[in-house]
Amino acid sequence: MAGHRLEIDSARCAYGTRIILQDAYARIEGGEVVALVGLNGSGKSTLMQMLFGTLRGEYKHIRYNDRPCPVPCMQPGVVRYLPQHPFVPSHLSPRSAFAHYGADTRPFLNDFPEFASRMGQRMGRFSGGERRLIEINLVLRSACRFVLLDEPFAELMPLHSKRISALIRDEARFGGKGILLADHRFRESLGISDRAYVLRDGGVTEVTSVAGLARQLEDNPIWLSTGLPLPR
Amino acid sequence: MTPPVRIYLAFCRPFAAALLALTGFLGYVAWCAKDGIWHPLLWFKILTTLLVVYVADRLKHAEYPYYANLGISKARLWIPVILADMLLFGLVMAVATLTPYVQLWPDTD
Repeated sequence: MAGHRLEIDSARCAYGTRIILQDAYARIEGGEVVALVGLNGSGKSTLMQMLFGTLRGEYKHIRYNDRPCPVPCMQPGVVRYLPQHPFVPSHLSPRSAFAHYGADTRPFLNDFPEFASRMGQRMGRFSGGERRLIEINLVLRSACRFVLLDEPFAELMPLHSKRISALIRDEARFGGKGILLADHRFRESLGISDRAYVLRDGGVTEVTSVAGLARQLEDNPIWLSTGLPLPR
Repeated sequence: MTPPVRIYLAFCRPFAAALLALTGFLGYVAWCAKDGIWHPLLWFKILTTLLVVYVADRLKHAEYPYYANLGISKARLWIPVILADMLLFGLVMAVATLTPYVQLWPDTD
């Protein structure tokens, strides 16, 4: 599956008078993990929803393998999206959800055997963290070329965060999926990413190294929140 | 991948009972009342269906990405559901109008 490419170009979006994205560009290639870094309200979720196709914005141009693709989510098997909030209907069971998405439950149960006896239980009866874990696995393990993960590590306990980080890397490396992830846990998200986009003032800047990231963020409080030393 | 009909059934499940109960009730009213009741019942059905759709849309807003991941947009979810419901309503009304009225419960006085 590697070799595929999904791009969004000239993305513009505003809520009222507040400009969120101004001529933003982002690209994901098959087999790589790309992090989106930015403060709350900087436009990470907006960019993801525009790239997924559920948010129109003021203007955007999306290309899939160099061909125009205005609504990628309507193209079968191209892209899957994990929103910030629980999105699997509460009355469905994990087993039904995996069946709908055409995902095999066995690899999931090998990694998380604690769910084996609860696959028929309604999603609404799982805790927030358990539900998040099921939803991440559902999106990552289903057959598609690109996965957009909006705050995948939110609500997960550290042990599960490590396993999900490994799963993200494996799905990119061995499954050939292109993965775009935005999360405020910068250590986890940057630790598994091949490169990153920094969102600031409506614009998007690509960085491919820690030094480049530091240059973008050193005057910005989010860098301090990562806990990573500034490479001066 | 699951056939689309199962996905539509999963989507409808939380509010299907309300729509079916409404159609059944209006069918019963049409069966009892016969002539001249079609028009008001049709409008009643349209307005109550819109109300059910509005409430369900508000409650299910967070679930739309689940269906978008399967390539089904919000419009493609709702339009077949509303069409199927109105078709069922038409069938129930036709059957109710054509079936001779039989008093189900005898008068007690």
